[in-house]
Amino acid sequence: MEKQINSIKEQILNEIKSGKVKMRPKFYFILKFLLFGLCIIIFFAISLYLFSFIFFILNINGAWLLTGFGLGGIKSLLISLPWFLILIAVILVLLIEFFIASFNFAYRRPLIYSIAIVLLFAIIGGVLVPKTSLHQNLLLSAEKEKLPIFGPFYLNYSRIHFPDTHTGIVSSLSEEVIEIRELDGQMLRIPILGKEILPPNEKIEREDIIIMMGEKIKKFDRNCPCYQNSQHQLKMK
Amino acid sequence: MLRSNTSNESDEEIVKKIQAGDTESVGVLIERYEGKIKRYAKKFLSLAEDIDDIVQEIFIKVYTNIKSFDVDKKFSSWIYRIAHNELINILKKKQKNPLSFFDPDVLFPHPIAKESADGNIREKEIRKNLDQCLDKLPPKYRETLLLYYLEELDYKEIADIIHIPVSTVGVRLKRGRKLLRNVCKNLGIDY
Repeated sequence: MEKQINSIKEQILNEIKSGKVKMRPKFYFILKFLLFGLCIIIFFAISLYLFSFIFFILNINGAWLLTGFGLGGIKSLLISLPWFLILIAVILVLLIEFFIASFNFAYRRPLIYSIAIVLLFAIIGGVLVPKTSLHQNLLLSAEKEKLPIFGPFYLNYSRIHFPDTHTGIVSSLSEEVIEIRELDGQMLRIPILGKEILPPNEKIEREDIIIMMGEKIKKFDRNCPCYQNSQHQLKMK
Repeated sequence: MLRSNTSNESDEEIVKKIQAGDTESVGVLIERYEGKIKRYAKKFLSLAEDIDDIVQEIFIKVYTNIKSFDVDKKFSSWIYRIAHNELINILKKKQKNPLSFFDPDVLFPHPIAKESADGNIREKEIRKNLDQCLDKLPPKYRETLLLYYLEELDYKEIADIIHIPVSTVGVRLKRGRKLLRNVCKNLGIDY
């Protein structure tokens, strides 16, 4: 046994003395640590950007209003959520967790805690960033074709179509009917069947942008060759 | 802190000397840890044959990475961590997914089981049975039982070596003991 111990010890010492085995310099570990930190910061910044972009596009598309339409609205919202972006953002959070989990403050506790903290920071940041003009300015640049690479990204996601919902500008209104011009220029006539379809405490006026939910029925009308819908609700945008 | 037969210095003091360029002190660390690492590797890998090459590789990694060690921390946890990584890599080559990537025990919280819940007699019994039945257990339980009963490390040290929550160490020990009992019974060994 003693002979074997000496053998391993001597072999290693010989390799060290001959220069075959060398200590890595402190600088190597500092650099590794910095790269590690940089990866965490980059992944966090990208996930923050993605979460904020998701909240921004949901805001500008009036997605939150859909929840006010009841189950149908929630279903429509869930179907139309940008799942691909959400998936990438979640993968990034898991990648951050992968890096963070090597630190004792993370691995000594159940990993769900550190995952929840990273996710919470990313979501809080994601909610706060759209309150700045960052995405709004980038979208404006994209609309003016002054945003290379990210331009199509902003333009595609700035107009999400939610099933059975129609957004437009009120062009005329009376006690019986509201006519709106949709973003693609199509006219839509909405007969007012009852007061319950109108948002409470909100008065609709001409030039208002409204979002409406209901099935679209093609119906020719002598006075207005337009689409008409039934079973609808209206929400102010 | 651990004291050597050949030196009164702590492991951390010796590491400090090695970091400063005293390569001869590497021998003192090897003398102190070779037996432990050899036992750990042999039991964890369930190998009957000689494992000198594996142990040598572990000590070479210790030396090449020694400047990353923070001397304010415990050296024993650090060297076992290096050994753990090396042994896991060897296990991965031998079998597919020795430790699954997704482990609910690591992900979700558990109440922390008290340390040393077993009496001394019970511990002796477990240690005796570990020798005979350990290789029949899945690696994640085998390693935790090995580090706790044979290497006599505490929950926090084991958590730092395997990089799992402290509460998960307790869970694995509890389940590991239960599995050990079943395995021993199946082998006809009194438990």
